Amino acid sequence: MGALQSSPGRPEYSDLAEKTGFSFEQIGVLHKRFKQLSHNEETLQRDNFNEIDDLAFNPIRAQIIEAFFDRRNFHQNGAGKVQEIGFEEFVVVMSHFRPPSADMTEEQRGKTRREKLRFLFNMHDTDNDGTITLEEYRHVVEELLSRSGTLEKETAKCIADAAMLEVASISVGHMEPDEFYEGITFEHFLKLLERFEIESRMTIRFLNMDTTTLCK
Amino acid sequence: MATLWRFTLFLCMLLMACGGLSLASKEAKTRNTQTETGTASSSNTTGEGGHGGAPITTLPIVTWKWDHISVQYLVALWVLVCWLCKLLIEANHNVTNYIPESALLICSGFILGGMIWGADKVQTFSLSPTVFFYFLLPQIILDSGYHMPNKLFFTNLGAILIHAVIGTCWNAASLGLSLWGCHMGGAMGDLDIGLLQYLLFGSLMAAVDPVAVLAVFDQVHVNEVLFIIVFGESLLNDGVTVVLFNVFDAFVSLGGGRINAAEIIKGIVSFFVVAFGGSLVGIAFGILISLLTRCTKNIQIIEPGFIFVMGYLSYLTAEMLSLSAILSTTFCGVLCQKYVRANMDESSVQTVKYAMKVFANGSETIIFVFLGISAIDKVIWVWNTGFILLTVFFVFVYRFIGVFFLQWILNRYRLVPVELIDMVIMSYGGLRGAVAYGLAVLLDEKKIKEKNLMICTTLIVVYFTVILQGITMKPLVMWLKVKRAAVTEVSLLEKITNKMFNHTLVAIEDISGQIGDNYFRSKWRHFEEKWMTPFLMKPSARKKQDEVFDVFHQLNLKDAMEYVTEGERRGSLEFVRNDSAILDFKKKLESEYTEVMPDMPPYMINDHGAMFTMGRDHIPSVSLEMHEQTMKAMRGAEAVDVHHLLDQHLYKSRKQYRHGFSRSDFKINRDEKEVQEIFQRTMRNRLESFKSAKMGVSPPKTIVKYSKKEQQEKTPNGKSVSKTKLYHSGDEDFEFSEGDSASGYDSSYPSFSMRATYRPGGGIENPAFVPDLYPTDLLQEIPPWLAESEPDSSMVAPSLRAQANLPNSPMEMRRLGLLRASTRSTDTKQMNNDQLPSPPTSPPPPPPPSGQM
Repeated sequence: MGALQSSPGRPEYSDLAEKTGFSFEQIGVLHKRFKQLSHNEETLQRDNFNEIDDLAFNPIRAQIIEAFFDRRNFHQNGAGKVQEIGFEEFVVVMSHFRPPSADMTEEQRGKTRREKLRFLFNMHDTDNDGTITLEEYRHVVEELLSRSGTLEKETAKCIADAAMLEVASISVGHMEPDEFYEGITFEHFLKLLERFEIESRMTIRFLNMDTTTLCK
Repeated sequence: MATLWRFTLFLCMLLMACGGLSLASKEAKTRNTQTETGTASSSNTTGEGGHGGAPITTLPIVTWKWDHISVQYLVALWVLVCWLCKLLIEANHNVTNYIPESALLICSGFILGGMIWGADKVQTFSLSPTVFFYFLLPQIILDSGYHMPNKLFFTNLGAILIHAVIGTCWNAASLGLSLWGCHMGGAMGDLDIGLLQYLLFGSLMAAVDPVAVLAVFDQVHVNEVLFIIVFGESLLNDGVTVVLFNVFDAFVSLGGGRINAAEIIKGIVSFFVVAFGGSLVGIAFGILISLLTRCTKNIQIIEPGFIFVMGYLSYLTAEMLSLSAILSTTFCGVLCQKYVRANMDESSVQTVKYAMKVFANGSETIIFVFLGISAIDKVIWVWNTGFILLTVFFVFVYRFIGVFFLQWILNRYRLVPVELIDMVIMSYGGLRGAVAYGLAVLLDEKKIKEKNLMICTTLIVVYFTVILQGITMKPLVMWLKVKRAAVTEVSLLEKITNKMFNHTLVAIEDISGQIGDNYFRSKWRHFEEKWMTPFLMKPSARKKQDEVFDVFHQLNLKDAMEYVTEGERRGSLEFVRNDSAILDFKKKLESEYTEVMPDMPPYMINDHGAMFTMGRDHIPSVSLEMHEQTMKAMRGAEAVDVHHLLDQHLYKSRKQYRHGFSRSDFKINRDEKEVQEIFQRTMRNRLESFKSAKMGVSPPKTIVKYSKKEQQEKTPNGKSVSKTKLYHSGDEDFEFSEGDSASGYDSSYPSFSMRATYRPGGGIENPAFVPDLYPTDLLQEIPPWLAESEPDSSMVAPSLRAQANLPNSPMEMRRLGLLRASTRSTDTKQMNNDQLPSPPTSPPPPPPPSGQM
């Protein structure tokens, strides 16, 4: 609990802890990191994220940074973007990556799964129209492959197209065909990644210890 | 070709085995009483056959030269017999469903052993440690290293190491001490075994055997985490076993009195040296292999051989330095797999893969059969009920205790804990096998009086675990409802999502300032890309390294192959060429008619549009860019040329025989460019045609839907919403289109239903399988239309517009996403005013070519 000394009082934490499921220690660590990123300001801007060195190699960093400023990831019915986020938003976005607890019911598991996939879906669906269109998908794939250096844009496009076709091949027979033409809907996205054990895979280890000093 | 290769390589293996046998036979005399495979019988034959030494009086036409080849002959014969056993066993599927193959092989070994016993009254053949460790084991280990799922392995490396090191030590110590305790308590009667000898026995029994584990787990498809922990443990615990065995063997020789703290510390140090040294040797050889394959382009024929020779050398080198050979070979395989696959030619990669499997599976079979044969020997059967039963009991129980305890600790640090059921299977999967037997045979009888009892007990433990636990494994997995392995299918979408996913996780870790698995993984990747790949991989291969591209490539390859098959099946290349011709034509028209599109009679869309969709949904709807490239390529090439090339490509299999005699050249199309061109062309064509086939899967519905929506939006134009809703009775246009498209579709329905049957459940399937039907369809339907349209374009115009207006054309794609409603409604509005009378432009489609499908 030593990490908490320089942080705001408990009540705020207990709200956050309840909302996100993080432990006090974890929130404390995250708060420290938040301060570090924001240079002790109350809010984080996009530039703060761009300053993270480790992130520089990441091909999809733009998408990820956007995800932090996306209202949809803050609460259920949000929409649009914000220019800066406070600590609460930061933690809420992070909470999408919390590991599932061992004693979850099937129902809770399904819910977590949905939430996690929704986050992923939102990363694709930039214009928030509920579908991932071919354009959007292409964009993501291009970004994703942009760092491999040797693959041309053309190839990335082909790959995106082929993947979209795959989606089509699965979609037909399950759903109305016109939905496919618009792009991948969320329901469909769920179905596509059915075998993907996202509730256990989309998790990172949130340590109770403070390791921020090791990161640049 | 691959078969030829496998055969040659196998011959090499046999030769090596033979050499080893004669070597082993010399050792056999000094070491132990175990007779050698073949050697004993050769000594038998030398006794009876004296014809070799007799002076010749005349020129013999034929002579009986059994002595010359007896060893080689017996080895080959035994290999054949073992494999025939497997053949017989595999022929009975209803048996192998319940009893694992390894257990059945051991049982057939019992029968064979009984036959030998009956004939010779002595066991002339048994598995000797030399043969096992130097000729049967290496290829199995190399195979498992080379085919190791690297990512999975390294993600779980921590757990694997804990189980392999601590678990094995625990097994050895607990078994040795408990047996000793029981001995002290008087449970075993009069036995001449001291504490150190018990510990030695414990250490040879401790290791879970990779061969047995692989054989059993291969047939029970448990989830991958569970599998990799058990299997990885069985591979890596070799280092521990070797050390423990050597240390206790040395202690036994030294005798209890001379063991002091220094010796024990030496033992601990030797553990690290053996384990890490072995791994380092393996890594060095892995790097060597990678470097070698960088420059074997000119000797492609023997390229695959390098992997085997170097893999074997890594094993022998480690053995020579008294390091862990299994660890060495494992890491050699793990390291080189990626670079070897990238550097070598596709066919060599395939050869390596199959040859590896032939060797590994072959020697696994031999091992199990000989494990069975070895049992039928009066010499080794020394029965001591207490010792044997207690050993079996302790092996079983301590495995459970060890796994549960270690996994319980590990679970506290695991992100996704291993479930209790999985732990049961992990414990239950602790099969002992030939490694333990080999080590037991290696024991020195002078120092350990009860060696035969130990061999006997080891065999019983092996049979208990492999046969009993092996048989019950599957029912247990079913009964406990252990999570099974997901069916892995390459799907582009999953690959992309997966990749995206990994990047996301890394990014989130970076942002949140946590250092986790992903952090190290990304750092390692970065390091590898920066330093190792340029060094170890061919520059030309680096491009293909991306896994998403790889899947893409694989899918395309599959497509191209199916395309060619399709062409062959249709008996003509007409198919191939026609398709591209249509593509060209369409492409042109499409661009020309896009602007004219808006004035279309609505039923034209519904009627012909629908039909066109059926007939020509091979328009390159998604990848126009790609198509343009094809166009450029096509223009330069003559049609005859294409025909020629494809012809060569298609009938390669027949021509191949002409070149079969050559030892160094087995290619038909030697010009690489030619081959590549063929591949690229077929691939593209195929891809486009199936893509579009997919896009237009059920166009009539689409159109109906759209018109419905549009008409709703269009209410000011005179159509009421309610009317459109009841479109069956209300909307004229609509009903017409419905009926018409239905009738026009009769021909194509079969293909729909077929399509449906191709697609099981919700699984992601490979698109390559589906679209085959379409090209067949369109070909039958298009040519008449094409013939008609070309001479007189004015006649065709409406239909072409219809075609351009298809919902699956690229313009539509974009539009549907963005301004679907508005564009469409204007279209239809205007179309209403247009003239109707050009339906005949497109002839009704000919009967479906269902007979061919």
